[in-house]
Amino acid sequence: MASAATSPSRASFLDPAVLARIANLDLLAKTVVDGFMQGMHRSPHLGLSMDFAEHRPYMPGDDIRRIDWRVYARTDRFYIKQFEAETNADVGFLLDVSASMDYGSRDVSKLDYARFLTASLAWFSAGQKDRVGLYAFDDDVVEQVRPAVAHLDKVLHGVARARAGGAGSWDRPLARVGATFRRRGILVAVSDFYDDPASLSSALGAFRAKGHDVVAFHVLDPVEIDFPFAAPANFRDAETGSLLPVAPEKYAGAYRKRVAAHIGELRRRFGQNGVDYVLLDTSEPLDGALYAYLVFRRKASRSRQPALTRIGNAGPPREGPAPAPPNGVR
Amino acid sequence: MGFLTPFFLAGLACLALPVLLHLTRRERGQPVRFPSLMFLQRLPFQEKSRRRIRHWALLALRLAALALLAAAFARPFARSGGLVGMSGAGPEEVVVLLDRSYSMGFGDHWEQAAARAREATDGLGLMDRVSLVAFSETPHLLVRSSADRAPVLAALDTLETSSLGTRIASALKLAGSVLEASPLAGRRVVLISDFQQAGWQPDRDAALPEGTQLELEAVGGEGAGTDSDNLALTGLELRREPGPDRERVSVRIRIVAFGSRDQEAKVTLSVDGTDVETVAVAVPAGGSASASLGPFMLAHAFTRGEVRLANDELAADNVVHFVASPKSGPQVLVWDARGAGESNLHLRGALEIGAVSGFATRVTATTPSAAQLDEADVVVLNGVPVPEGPAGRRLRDFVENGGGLLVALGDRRPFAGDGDDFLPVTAGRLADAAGEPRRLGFVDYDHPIFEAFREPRAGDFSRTAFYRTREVEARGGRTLARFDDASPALVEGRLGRGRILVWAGGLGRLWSDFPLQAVYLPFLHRVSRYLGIRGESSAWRRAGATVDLALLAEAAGVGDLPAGVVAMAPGGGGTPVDPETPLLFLAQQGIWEIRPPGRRPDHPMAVAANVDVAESDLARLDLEEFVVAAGADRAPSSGTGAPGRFADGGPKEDIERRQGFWRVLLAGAFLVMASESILANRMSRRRSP
Repeated sequence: MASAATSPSRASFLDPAVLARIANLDLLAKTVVDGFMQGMHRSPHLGLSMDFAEHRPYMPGDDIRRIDWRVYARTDRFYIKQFEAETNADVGFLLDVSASMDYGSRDVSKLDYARFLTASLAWFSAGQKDRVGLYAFDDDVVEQVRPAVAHLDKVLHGVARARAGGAGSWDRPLARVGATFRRRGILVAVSDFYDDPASLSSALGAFRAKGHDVVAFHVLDPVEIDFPFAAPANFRDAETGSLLPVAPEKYAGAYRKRVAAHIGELRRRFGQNGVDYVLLDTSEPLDGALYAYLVFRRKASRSRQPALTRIGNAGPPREGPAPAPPNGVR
Repeated sequence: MGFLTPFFLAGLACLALPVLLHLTRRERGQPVRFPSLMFLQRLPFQEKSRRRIRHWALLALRLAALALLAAAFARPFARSGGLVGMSGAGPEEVVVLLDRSYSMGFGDHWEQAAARAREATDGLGLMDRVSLVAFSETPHLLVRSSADRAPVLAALDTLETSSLGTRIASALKLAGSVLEASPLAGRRVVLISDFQQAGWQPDRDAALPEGTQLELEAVGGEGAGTDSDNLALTGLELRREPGPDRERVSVRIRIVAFGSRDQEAKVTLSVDGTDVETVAVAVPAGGSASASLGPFMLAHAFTRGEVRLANDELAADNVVHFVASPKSGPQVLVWDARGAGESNLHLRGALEIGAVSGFATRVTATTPSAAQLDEADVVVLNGVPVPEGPAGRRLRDFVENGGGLLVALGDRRPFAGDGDDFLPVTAGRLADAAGEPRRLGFVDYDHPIFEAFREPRAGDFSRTAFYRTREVEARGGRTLARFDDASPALVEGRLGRGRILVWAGGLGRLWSDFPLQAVYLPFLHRVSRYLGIRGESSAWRRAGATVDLALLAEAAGVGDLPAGVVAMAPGGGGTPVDPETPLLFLAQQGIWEIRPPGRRPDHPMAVAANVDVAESDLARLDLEEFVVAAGADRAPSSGTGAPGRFADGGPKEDIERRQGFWRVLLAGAFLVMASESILANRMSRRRSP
C-alpha cells in the first residue's frame, strides 16, 4: 500500500535530511535501495524480480544458451527460460552539476538530492546487472564514466566528487554523450532543467529517437516552487551572478504561474517526445523517485521486451494497474 | 539662538541621502542568491514601488540622526541664559563700528573694512535700523539709528583713514549708548578693525547692553598683523649748534622695525622742500636704529622740515614733520646757598663750557627774585630746599608757566612748612654707601634726556660711583633712573606746563664721581635743554593733540595772536580760529599753517603734527582675550564663524554653558542611531524567508 511506503521506519532511510548525514555514498545508495525494496515487498502489486519469469518457445535467432534443457528433457521441446529483471541494459546517468543545482533552502541542496538519487538508482540498476555509466555536466561534461557492469564504484565515486559550478547548458554535453552512448539503453537525466523546454525536449527526444529510453528527473527546491519571499530585494543568479531587483510581494504569484507553466511545458513536450518526466521536490523522501524509476523500468522493459509484462515470478504475466505513487512524485 | 560654525549646517543637505538611497539603491542591499532568474523579471510597477517609501519610521530615525549630527557640529549656542528665539526673529538695532585709524591704511585694509561695512549694511532686514560710527582715538557717530541705508552707504563712500590711533573702548561706549536708546529688542554691534594690540585697553565702562550680539570683523585675514613688516619713524630730535651767524640744526631720528624681518631703511631729511641728506640704516627685526642727518642752517622762523622713509605698505608713519625757529640757548639760574663755589663748581663748569653750549648760566645764593625768574628758563636748586611763602609761590608759578626746575636734593633737611609738595618725590634720609659705592642700575633710554645715550659707546652711566645719596620715594612722577638697589635716582614730574626733575643726591664731587665721568656734561646739557623747552615751542606735536596758538605765538616771539587768523590743514581747507579760545585740534598729520587774515606771509606760523608711532605696531590683539576682556561684564553674544570673523563669547563659564548644546545633540544622535539599528535589524529579520 502506498501508506506502507511512507511508514516512519522506511521513510527515515529515505529522508534526504537523514541521508545527508551519510558520507559514504555507497552505503547511502544501498540503504536507500534496501529500505525501499523492503517496503516494496509488502506490496502485492509491485516488485522487480531478477528470478525466473517464464518459458517461451524457442524461436530461430534466440540464443541457444538460454534454452532450458530440463524442460527439453521432459517435453522434448525447446523453451527459452526468461527472467524479468535481467535486462543488461546500458544505464547512463546525466547529472547536472551546474551552479543552479547548488541551491538548497533547507539541509539538502538540489545537487545533494540529485547525487543521492543518482547513486541510489545506479545501485539499483547495478543490482539488475545493468551497465551503469555517469555523465556529470554543466556546460560540458566534467565527469564521465563509461557504462559497464563493473563501473558502479566508479559511478558512485564520480557522483561523490561532483561539485556544482559553472553555467548550465545541454547542447554540448548531450552532443558528447551522444557520441559515446551508442548502445541502446536508458538515459536518466537529473537536473533542474532551467532551459527552454522546447530545446530540452528535442535534445533528449533525439536520444529517444535513437532507441534509448529517457527519463528526466526534474529536481527543484520548495523555495523555487513556492517562492515565499516577501521583502523587495536583489536576486542574484547563481550561474551568471547577475542581479535583478524584485518586489516579491507583487511578483510571487506571477513567478509561481511561470514555474507551473514551465513544468507543464516540460511535461507536455517530454511526453510528446517519449521522455518520461518526474518532478521531484528536495523536501520529499527519495522513495517517490525510486518508485517512479521502477514504473519507468517496467515500461521500458515492456517496450524492449513486450512479452515480459508480468511482474513477479508467480502467476501469469499481467498488466497491473498503476499503483498510487508515494509522496514526492507529482 | 545662533551657531558658532554654521558651515556644518550644510550637512543638513545630507538629509536627502537616506531618501535617495532608499529610492535608488535600496534594491542593492543584501542580494538573495537564487538558482536562476529565468522566471524573474522587472515588473512595470517596480520603479513606482521603489520610489515609494515603506518604512517611514526607519527613514525618520535616519533623518533625525543626520539632523542632530549636523546641528551638533554647527555648535549652537544661546544668546542669553536659555534658548531664545532665532536670530532675525525681530528687527535689530545694528551699530557698525568702523576703525579709521591710520593703521587701517596698511595695504588694502581700509578697502576691506569699507567693503565689510557695506556688506553689513546691505545685509540688514527691512525693519532693522543701522548706525554708523567711525572711530580712531575718538568715535564719531556719522549716522544714528536710520532705517534708510543710503546715508550709511554715502558716508562710507566719503570716509578716509585718519592720522590718529585706535581706541576701541571708546567706540564700544558710544555703540552702547546708541543701543541703550533704541526701542528695538534685537541689538547687534559689528566691529570692523585691524584689532591692534595698542588699540584696546580693557574698560569696564565699555559694556554693551544685555543681549547685544557683538560681531567682530578682523580685516586682513587671520595671519594679518603678526608677520606684517612695517618701518616707522619716531623720536625726532633737533640738535642746535650756534653758528657764526645762524644756528646749525642736526636731526636725530629713530627708525623702528615692526615685524619679523630685518630691514634696510633709507632715511631722507628735507628742509623747506629741499632734500638735505639721505642715509641708509639697517634696522633689526622688532628693534630700532637711530640716524643722524644734517646739519642744516636755520635761516628763518618756522622753518619746515620732514624726515621720510621710502614707502612701505603703511605710509602714514613713514614721514615725520617738524617746524624749527631760531632761538637762543636757555637761561639757567643756579640757586646755591653757598653761592658760586666748590659745591657747584662742576655744575657751573659744565654749563659754562663755552659759547658752544649755548647756555647762559647764573648763580645766586639768595632766593631768586621775580625778575630773575622771568629771565630764566631753567632753575637749578642745588641743595636748597624749596622755599615757602611768596618765594615758594613764585617758584611754583614759574614752573606752572613752563619753566624748568632741577632739584638736586643734596643734604638739605626737610623742615616743617617746606613748600615742596609739588615735587614728584618725598625726600628721606641720607644714605652713605657702607662698602661698595652705589651705581645706576636702570636708565630710561626712551626718555629724551637719555635717548642720546642709547647706542653703544654713547655714554656709560653704570661706571659712576655714588658714595652718598638721598633716599626718596616717588609719588606720581616718572622715574628716569634708579640706583642698583632700585631706589629712584632721577624722577620727573609735571606742574602746569613746566617740568620738574629731582636728583636724589648732589651734583658735586662730594657725592659721587659723576662730575668726573664723560657723561656728566652731556647729561647736564640735555637736562637743561629738556627743562628749557617752554610752552608749545617743541618741533612737532602728536596728531590728535590740541595746540594753544596763543602760547605758540608767544614762544615764537610773534606776540599776541592777531584776530581772524585761519588754520590751514595739511590736506587743504582752512578753519577760522576763535581769538577767545585759540585752540587748534591737529586732526591730520603734516604742517598746519596759521595765517593772518587776508595775507599769505612767506613764513607763516606753523605747527607740525606727526602720527603716534604706537599705532604703527600692527601686532594683532588676541581676539580670544579681547572677547573675554570686553565681555567680562556684558551678556554673551556671538558673531559668525566666517574667515576673518570672530565670535564673541563672554566669561568662559558662560560661554561653555551657552555653547554646550552640542553635547546633548550628539548624545541624541547616538541614541537615535542605536534605535535605528535595532529597528532595522528587526525589520531585516522579518523580511528574510
